[in-house]
Amino acid sequence: MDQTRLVSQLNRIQKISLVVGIVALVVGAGGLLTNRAQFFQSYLLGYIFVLSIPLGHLGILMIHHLVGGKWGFSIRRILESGAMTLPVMALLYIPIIVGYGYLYPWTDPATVAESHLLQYKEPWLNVPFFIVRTVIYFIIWSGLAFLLNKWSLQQDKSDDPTAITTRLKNLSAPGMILFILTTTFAAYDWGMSLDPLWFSSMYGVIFFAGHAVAAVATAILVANFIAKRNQKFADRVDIYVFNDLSNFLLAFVSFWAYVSFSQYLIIWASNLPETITWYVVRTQNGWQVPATMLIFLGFAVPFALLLSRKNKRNIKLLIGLSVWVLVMRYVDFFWILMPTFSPYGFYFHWLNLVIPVGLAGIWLFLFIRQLKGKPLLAQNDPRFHEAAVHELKEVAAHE
Amino acid sequence: MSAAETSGPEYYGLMAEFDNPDDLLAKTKKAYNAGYRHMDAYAPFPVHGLGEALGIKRNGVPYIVLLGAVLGGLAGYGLQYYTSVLAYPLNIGGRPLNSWPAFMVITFEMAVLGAGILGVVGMLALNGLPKPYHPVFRVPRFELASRDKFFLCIMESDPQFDMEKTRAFLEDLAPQGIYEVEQDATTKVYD
Repeated sequence: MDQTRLVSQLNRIQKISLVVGIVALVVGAGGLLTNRAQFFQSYLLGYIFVLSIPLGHLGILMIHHLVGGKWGFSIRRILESGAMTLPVMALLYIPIIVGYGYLYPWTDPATVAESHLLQYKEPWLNVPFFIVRTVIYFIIWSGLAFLLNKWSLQQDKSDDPTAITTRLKNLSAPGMILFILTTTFAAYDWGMSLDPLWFSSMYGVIFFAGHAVAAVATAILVANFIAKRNQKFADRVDIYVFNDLSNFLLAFVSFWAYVSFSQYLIIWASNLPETITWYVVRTQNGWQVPATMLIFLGFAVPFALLLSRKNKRNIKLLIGLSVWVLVMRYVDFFWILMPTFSPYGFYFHWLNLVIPVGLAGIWLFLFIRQLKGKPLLAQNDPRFHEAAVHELKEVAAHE
Repeated sequence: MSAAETSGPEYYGLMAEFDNPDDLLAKTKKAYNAGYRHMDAYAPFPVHGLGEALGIKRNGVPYIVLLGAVLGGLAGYGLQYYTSVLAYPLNIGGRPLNSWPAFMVITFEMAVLGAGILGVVGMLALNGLPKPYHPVFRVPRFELASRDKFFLCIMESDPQFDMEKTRAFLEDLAPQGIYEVEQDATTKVYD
């Protein structure tokens, strides 16, 4: 039966990704001996890039609970599995705590003593409070992921699934607000405070727009992988679902480009020394190469391709595009984070590749472990079978 | 055949009523597989896949919209380029005259405007709307198509249409009702 084929292939990929993950991280740890600062910088890049995927899963899962729709039921278990990796991913943050001194200038008392502005920011930017905030982010994310998973699985066996749908909805509404706040502040803390004197209120939005892109791209890849090997799943997750998902991909890629450009436009137009320096560093001496890549290959190409419905329903193209968009997620974080450490010229270290691959391998292992433990479809949700009829009732109720 | 030659009324088609979108979709597919081509389906909201089930070919509206977006965008950028670079070249804070980042917002908005206008105009040009009267309005229950009922209408113009056989076919689909849609002289002229 194809069910066993799916499981055995998942097992194999899971093993491979664990081995790749561990080997890459061990090799990467070798960099700890030769270039300690580079190790932590690459680790931060890899960590933010990989964590972007499960964070996006959590956000889109809550959107699904709030709005329903067939697309959501199709990928709900994928999103739940992704979100459920967050508690373990929290442990992988620990090496960054060790490396704070190599990453964040505001941890250095001598730097703070020289800068009046940094002294002013000290009540917010100090190591104990920074760690407390990070712990709070992970508690909120893990708590949401845990409850959404638990209730959704309970619903599979429940006699009163409607009550659980309501409960999932009621958690997702405040959950969404908490999610937006925590991802924004996490972006400010982990990314923006690398340049502690620079600020942009759009920064957090750029991050969670990117999380959404990463989540939809991975959901498309996993849904296609399962649909090819499991007929029952494929019957449910048909071409219209993939059409919906590619619409999301188009929407989120556009949203990400829109907010990225907004930040640029505002800072470019005001042209103030305290903010423009961020872009001055990132648009010359080689750093303009990833910037230009992001405009054309990260935005224009996926945007143009996804305009046509024929392309949205072309699974092979969609798979290629999803992988491509994930690569661009890496380029985006690389361009946002890394110029801070090498402001006078483009610099790429092999650790920037090895450590993200390692962390991605570990994440994929955790993800598949979650995915295997659940039924592939949330069939007992009362909205599942009647996704369309449900919409009808709401239309009728409004009249 | 015209109304003058026969004693009974002329028909636009036969209409079947369904209770939910899945039913409408499934039955429309059956009608298509049975060989009917001249038909239309009516629902209070967009039903995924209904267009394909009816055998509706892709139309030119997306290309018209794209054209509108390109023309609108070019016009937006062109206007700003003309005013800031050619007509009134002012030095503002030392920025280049052709400051593309600042021009992007209006270029984008004009692209959206162009796409929107040509989208509506193109849609109207291709689908023959506005059409204040249509024979299907003669079916009293048809007003429910904008509330909570779903209708499939097989038109008399279909080569395979036969009042008796088509009625029997529709009855096999187990609809909630079958209605004869009468053609009238005024609409016949314009059809």
